[in-house]
Amino acid sequence: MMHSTPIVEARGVEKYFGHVKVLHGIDLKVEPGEVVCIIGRSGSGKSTFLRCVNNLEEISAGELLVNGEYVGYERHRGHLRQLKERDVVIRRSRIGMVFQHFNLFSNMSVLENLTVGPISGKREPKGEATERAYDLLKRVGLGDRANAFPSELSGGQQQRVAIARALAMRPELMLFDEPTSSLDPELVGEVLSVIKDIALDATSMLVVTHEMGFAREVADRVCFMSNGRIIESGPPDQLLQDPQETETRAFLRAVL
Amino acid sequence: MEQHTDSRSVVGTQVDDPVKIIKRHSPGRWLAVAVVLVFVAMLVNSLFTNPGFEWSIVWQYLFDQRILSGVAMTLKLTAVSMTLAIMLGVTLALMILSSNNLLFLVARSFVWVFRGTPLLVQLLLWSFIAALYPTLSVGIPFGPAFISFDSNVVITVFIAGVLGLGLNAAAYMAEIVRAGVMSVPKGQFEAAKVVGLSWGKMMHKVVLPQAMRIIVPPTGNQLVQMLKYSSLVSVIALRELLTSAQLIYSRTFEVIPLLLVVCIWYLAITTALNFGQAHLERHFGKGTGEDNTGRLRSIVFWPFRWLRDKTLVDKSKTGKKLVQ
Repeated sequence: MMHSTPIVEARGVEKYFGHVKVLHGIDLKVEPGEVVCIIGRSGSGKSTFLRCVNNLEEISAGELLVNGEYVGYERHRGHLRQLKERDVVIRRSRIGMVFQHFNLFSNMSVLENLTVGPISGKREPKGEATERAYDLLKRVGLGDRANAFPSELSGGQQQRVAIARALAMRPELMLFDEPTSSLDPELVGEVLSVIKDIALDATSMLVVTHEMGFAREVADRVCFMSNGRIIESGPPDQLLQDPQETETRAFLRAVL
Repeated sequence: MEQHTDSRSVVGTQVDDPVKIIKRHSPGRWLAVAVVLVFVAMLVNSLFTNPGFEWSIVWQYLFDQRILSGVAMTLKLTAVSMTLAIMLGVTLALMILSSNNLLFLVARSFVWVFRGTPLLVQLLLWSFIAALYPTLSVGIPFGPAFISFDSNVVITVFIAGVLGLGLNAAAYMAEIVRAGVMSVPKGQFEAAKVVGLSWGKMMHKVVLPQAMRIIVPPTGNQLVQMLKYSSLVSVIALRELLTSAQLIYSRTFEVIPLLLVVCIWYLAITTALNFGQAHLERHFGKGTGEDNTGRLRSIVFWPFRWLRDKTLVDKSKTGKKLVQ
């Protein structure tokens, strides 16, 4: 069997905020093309772990590699040393991220939101980046809104733009941090269907979500987190239908 | 209704025959208007009847060569000082926001000193700087100097004025810019990071354009204040607007009319600056669906509305759109 580098490899990842320990040793492997959903109560450390993956948060202990590389560090004489800002930016730009609150750049049009990363960050030619941006906007169903400002869009539309913005960077890995949690219920569907569509492309994805139906349909694997630990993980059918741990069972009873 | 291009747009929000709501006028409001009008009438009357104003002399000096060169000096002094203040202020703000403790402390100390001492004293100190540092030199720190200058030659009255006004305003600008940057939501910084923008690009493309909305109004204040505080340089004998007027009335004793000339010029310049500020506010307000600059405009230009109605139709379409 061919051995490939996992897209995400976490070993014993710990994270402190001051004296509060929020991650107690996370071990997780995501293979290329795999879609992994992380579920759990709020405050269980799901989002913190996700933010550690692209180095928005620094980890306190353990190892966290994306495609075989540390995102914010390098090995240097047996120690981990912070990378130069430029290298962090390059490595981080290979990881797309979609936030709970969209975080579209409010001073830019939809089109500029999609092109600023490729043009100003990756120094791609303007024409190429713009062309791809239009394609992506069409793909998320917003081809006619390129010149609108984010404040003129509905929440669902904004989140679809945010997904297109992340895809515009041609990421090796997509991180979704509760992408539908701040949406009105009737807008959740349009965003989830866009994410499903991307998953069909064999894009590697790590999704923190409260949408159990979505997890069942799209995920290759579901992890249940509680108090900074991964309590249980497995294929969605198994974990969601027949959880082994009492904590998982209690959580699923509460949300389903 | 052009924003409803989405397939699930709301139907039937267009009102063909809007309800006409008549404004209600209260007696108290009428009374207040009457009182204010009487006072305004008294003031205007005195402007014309009090001989002390000597309007003919005002008119005679308004475009006097000496006054005009004073105006030019005031404008030059303000422009150069404000440029210095903005550049230094942005630098100081970024130093205060940086994670480096030394940079933070140096910038904080600068703000502490220059905001904590009177501008007038700072101006005097700069003009007497030669007493403290007789020569200024370029060389190796604590080592030999390559070139030396006489401070009295380098620090002219104009340079002293610029340093005094500019460094003082920089301390205030630092706080204004810092407040602006801090007003940008944290999510914008994070989003900039994940789309591969370096720190500099993030500031330039995302943070500062959004911070400008907060920065512009107090900066306009600062500029207007700077314009007027530039009259303080009369104490170091720089011939700006006020000094020029003083030089004239010290010989002719026409104090009031010349001070009126000074006021008219200051008012004219600040009015022009206000227009510029309103323009900037509209520019940096794009994407927010807000325009807070329109009220005064609509009152002042009310008599010319027939002219504006034609030109403003297209603007109103692109200007204000609400969140759906």
